[in-house]
Amino acid sequence: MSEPRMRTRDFSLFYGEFRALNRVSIDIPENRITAIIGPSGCGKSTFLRSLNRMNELIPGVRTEGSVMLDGEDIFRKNVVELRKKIGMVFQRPNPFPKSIFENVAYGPRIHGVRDRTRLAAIVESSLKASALWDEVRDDLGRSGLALSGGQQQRLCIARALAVEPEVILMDEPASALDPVATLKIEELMEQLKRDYTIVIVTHNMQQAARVSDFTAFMLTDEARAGNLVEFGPTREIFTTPVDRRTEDYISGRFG
Amino acid sequence: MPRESYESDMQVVREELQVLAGMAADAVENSVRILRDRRMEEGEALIEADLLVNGKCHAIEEMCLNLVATQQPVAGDLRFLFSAMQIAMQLERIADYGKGIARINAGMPPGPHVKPLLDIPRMSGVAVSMLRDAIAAFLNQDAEAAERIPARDVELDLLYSQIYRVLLTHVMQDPRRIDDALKLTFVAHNLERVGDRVVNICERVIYYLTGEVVDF
Repeated sequence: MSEPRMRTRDFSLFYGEFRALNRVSIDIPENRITAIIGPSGCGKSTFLRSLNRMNELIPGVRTEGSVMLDGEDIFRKNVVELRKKIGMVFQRPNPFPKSIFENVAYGPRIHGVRDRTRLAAIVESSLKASALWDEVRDDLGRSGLALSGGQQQRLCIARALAVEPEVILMDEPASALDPVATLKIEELMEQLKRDYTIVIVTHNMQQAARVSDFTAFMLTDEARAGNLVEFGPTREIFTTPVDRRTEDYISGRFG
Repeated sequence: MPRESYESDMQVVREELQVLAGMAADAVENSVRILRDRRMEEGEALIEADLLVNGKCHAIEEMCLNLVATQQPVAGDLRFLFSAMQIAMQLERIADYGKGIARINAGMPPGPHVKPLLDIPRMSGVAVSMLRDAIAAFLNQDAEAAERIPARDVELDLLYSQIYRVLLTHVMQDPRRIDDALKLTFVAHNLERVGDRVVNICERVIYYLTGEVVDF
């Protein structure tokens, strides 16, 4: 395998005095889907949000260790540039109260694209890449909020793709969707990984097993800090996990 | 205790597999016994008992499939269910060898054999004890025990060649007994195959317990 696209080393995160993540070291391979699983409160979303510095918006947050993107320390980068390279899709679809076109064109505009033809081309290719184009091409002026939940989520993915990121972070991207819309998102992820590196946080272990190439299992320790228990190829995690705690969790023997 | 009904269903699979193993061992032991003692009248019952074995095997497969379909087993649980299905299939085949021996007995005219059977019951004893130990290793989750069993297959191979040699000598001395001798060679061959099936079971037990695919 080539060099990992992202790499964390002994990464810890504190909310004030409380250690929420404890020395997490993980390599996120390029053009692969990496799933992060674990029970509620294990720090998986905190970890995901650390990868594009979303946690910095929370007062009192402090970090230790390193997070690298293509071998460069993300904390030394311009945060706007960083988030252009590392896009994010959230649990609840959150389109802007604007037209479908404007939702997708928003990012490129912020990054200085003014030309209408160029914007139209970006909107079309992004909507195609997010498998929404055929459903909305005839009415791009319609409000993004008028779409179904599954369509809204694909619109948000198109919005993330429009700025040509390298990495896409997905925080429970299908948990608010019905099974059919969920399947569409999963199929879309499979296509997207040809061009992007994807990291997904999911509560749904079967989803992690279905879509991901690599799986990281996180768990809190006695001090309630999130730890990485096991990381490896998804196939191995779900057939022959090394750590007893991983086996218990994925077999549903927790609580 | 989480997932109680799941756990108890898995326990039922375990117990049913133990029952099936007992049926397979009986099939081999009893068929060799009636062959040795030329008890023609018991043969039919043994051949019919194989239907029960097949039914039990299918019931186990169905239980495993239901658990896979409804409970999404992974890791050790998945390896357990997958192995249980494979082991059930091996046990069903072992019972078939027993049935085959009962059929051979039925096809031989009543009366004593070319020589008293010693090595064939000995083979049966070795094969059945290997089988019982393999199932015990499965139930006790003892991978090391399962690893030790396949070496005993050599004993079966040796007995098989010995039986073959002895019967060949008899045939050369008295070609009129050629039919009996050939049939007894089939019996020995069946018992040798039982040993191979037990080795397959051991491989499955090791896969279930360690995740490693071994080939003895």
